[in-house]
Amino acid sequence: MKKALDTSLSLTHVLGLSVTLGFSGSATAALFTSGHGDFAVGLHDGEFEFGYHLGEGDDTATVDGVIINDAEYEADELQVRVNQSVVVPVGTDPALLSGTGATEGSALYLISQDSDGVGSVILGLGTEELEQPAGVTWSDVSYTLNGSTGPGQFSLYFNDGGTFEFGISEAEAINTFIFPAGGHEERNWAFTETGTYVLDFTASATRTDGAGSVPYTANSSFTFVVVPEPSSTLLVVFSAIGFLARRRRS
Amino acid sequence: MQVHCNKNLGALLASALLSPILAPLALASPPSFDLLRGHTEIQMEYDEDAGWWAGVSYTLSTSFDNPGVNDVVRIEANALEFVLPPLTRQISASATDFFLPAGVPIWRIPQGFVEGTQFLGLRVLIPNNAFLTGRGDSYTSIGNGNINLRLLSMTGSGPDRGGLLGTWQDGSGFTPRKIGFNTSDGIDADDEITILRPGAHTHYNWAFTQPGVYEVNMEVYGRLVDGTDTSHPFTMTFQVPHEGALSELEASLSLDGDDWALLCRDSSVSVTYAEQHCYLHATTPSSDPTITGFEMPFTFDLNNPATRDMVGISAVSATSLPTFDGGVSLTLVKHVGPGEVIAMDLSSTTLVDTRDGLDAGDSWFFSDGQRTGKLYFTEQGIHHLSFVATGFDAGNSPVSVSRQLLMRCGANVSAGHSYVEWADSYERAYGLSAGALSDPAGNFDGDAISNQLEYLLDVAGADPVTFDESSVSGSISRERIGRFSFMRDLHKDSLSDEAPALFPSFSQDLESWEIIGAGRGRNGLPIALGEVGFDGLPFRLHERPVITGNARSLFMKRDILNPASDQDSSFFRLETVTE
Repeated sequence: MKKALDTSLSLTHVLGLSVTLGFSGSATAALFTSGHGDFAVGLHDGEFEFGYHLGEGDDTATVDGVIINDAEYEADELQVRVNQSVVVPVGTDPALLSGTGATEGSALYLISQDSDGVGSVILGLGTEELEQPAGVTWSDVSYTLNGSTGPGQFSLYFNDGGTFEFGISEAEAINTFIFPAGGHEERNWAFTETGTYVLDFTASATRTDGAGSVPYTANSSFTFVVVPEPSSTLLVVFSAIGFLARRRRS
Repeated sequence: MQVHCNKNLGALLASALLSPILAPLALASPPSFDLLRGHTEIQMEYDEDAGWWAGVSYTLSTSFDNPGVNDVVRIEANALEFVLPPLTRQISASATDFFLPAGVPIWRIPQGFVEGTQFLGLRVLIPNNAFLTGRGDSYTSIGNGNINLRLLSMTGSGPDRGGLLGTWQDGSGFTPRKIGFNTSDGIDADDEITILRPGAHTHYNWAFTQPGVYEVNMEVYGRLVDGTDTSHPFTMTFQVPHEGALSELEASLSLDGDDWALLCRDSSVSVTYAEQHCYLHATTPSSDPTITGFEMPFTFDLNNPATRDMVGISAVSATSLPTFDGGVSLTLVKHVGPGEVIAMDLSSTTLVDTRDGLDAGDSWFFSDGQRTGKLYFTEQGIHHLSFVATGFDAGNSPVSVSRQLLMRCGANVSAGHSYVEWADSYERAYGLSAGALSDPAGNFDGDAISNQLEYLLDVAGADPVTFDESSVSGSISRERIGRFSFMRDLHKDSLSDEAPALFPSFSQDLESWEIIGAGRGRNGLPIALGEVGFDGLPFRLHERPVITGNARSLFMKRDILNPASDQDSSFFRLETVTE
């Protein structure tokens, strides 16, 4: 009986460990785990800001377990959790494989463009805060990935009915794309391995009004925390328990 | 009062068409709205006390500068229609292979935002653990529960002419496409959008395959945790506009009370257009050795059969025949366009000929029913044909005379002709030097309506060279106090806000102007100037359809109504973008 108790205690302990696997963020950054957010640019008091806008209307977001709406965060105030994955099927479109850097049979971790926001994040590109009243126009916003750290490869793409448009592909060295001002679109954000990624982006756009044109640019670093889906974590835990139990008996 | 205002470099060009709105008007029946673009949701809600609500919602514009302004407006599903704008039109490919072959035209509201289209989502507000998880008859208690959206039926002229609906999600490419509705194999239990969980927000593609009206009759349903099945039906209406470009003139006249209309029919697809809602496109070179240019067959009759779709005129008006003891004539009173226009019947009798000027003899007389023949345009270009219909009594006196009925034609010039084609045509029509109209920001006739605006308003009879009351009032009409009407030409304006684009804007003081429904940003909907508007409708100021008839074409009559009773004066103008 004592052995069984020890086993159950070990189980609890290992489960506790698995839950915190991969959450290696800084103490000051909050974790955005589900609901709706935008990778957003805006102009406030003459400053061009490039960060996050979370939640809008009835679409809330959950940050550190709290449901929030219509909130602005600077890029370094948040970490985005990526907790959905697929096993890349054999026969996947080669364009998708080469763009994401994924290989058939391996796992690819995604924020999906068609996620429903329940239990996972939906992340869009948002430029609608670049307001264009009469007489004001914004150029397209240009985004450039200057550098990244992380265990795998990152890509950002849109599936338009079987045509894949890569804005960013580390595997194919595509590191810049443009997006119109005043727009909003969901995207697929893909990572080839679990772990923490820090992506250094620059966003630039030019605002033109009656007085002339003013270029704006901002650099921000965005952190993504890629974790296995909960079910796969549990599998790892059980197999470790099996190993522990065998060791005790022998 | 006309104000001329000119801005450079891709900025907006002001027109000078100001319509003072003197007093608000209470309308007899609730106006209906349409949405041509913008981010809205199909919102499905369930509350244990209040029950179901399903309809359309949108979020008022939020901005970082104004945090906390975050109002969600709910609209009853039957208070508005979704009209598929030009940028939804595509050719089918692999994405739709679950219900269509490749290479056929479709109109698709995209899953991902495309400027100038609707961005239509699905949003669910239901309590956690109020419902079981599952669909159909198969449920479990695992998870937080979900509802589903099933298709019950589809009615309207779109499905009547064989139009299909498919809804699907593209996914990430690695996950299989998720199919919702597919009416190509009939409507059954498989036609559902499933597993809509509490707090869910997602997007699907919606594709239609024929022009016309689609009443999509749906039902949101789920099984409550106590085992009770609960559901709520609702209908959303989608309109796929007809192109409105005709290669033959199959024409008639109608008279409803004092209102004459010149009708053009496309029998092959069962549509009748009122005269400003279509465009005749002649592409066949003239087969008459004595006439150069282009020809188009015509058939005139006074039978007025009802067609499935009526655009710009009600079925009652369109089927209302003019009956006069002395017969009816249709006389060409004005031609604006390059070269000449000739109409001959099958026995080579000339009915209309502009080569020797226009008089009462340039007419069709309809005392004897159908007239068939050919219309010739001696030069390529855009032609405005203005007709007057007259009803005669037995003594051959005119007893009813119509307003000018404008028929627009293109001889080898398509409905979506470019600014350059338009300028060239009017330069030749008026014998101007080449290039006289080449500047879109210019204003040849000094009427303070820029050339670009004249180009966009050609649909309403605008003329860049002659400033006359009919050309101005053809563009803007003040039919009633409190309303400002104009025509949109969606062959030219794709609603993407890039040139050429037409914007109505609004001012209370003639100094600060606000664009109405500019389509920018996620919403494409105007910021409400205050609280919810009259009749419970959420749009305080919005461009709305002037709906006569059940269907639409790409030539649309629009109006703006300012219903506010606290506004002593409001001014509207039309603006355009040149680049």
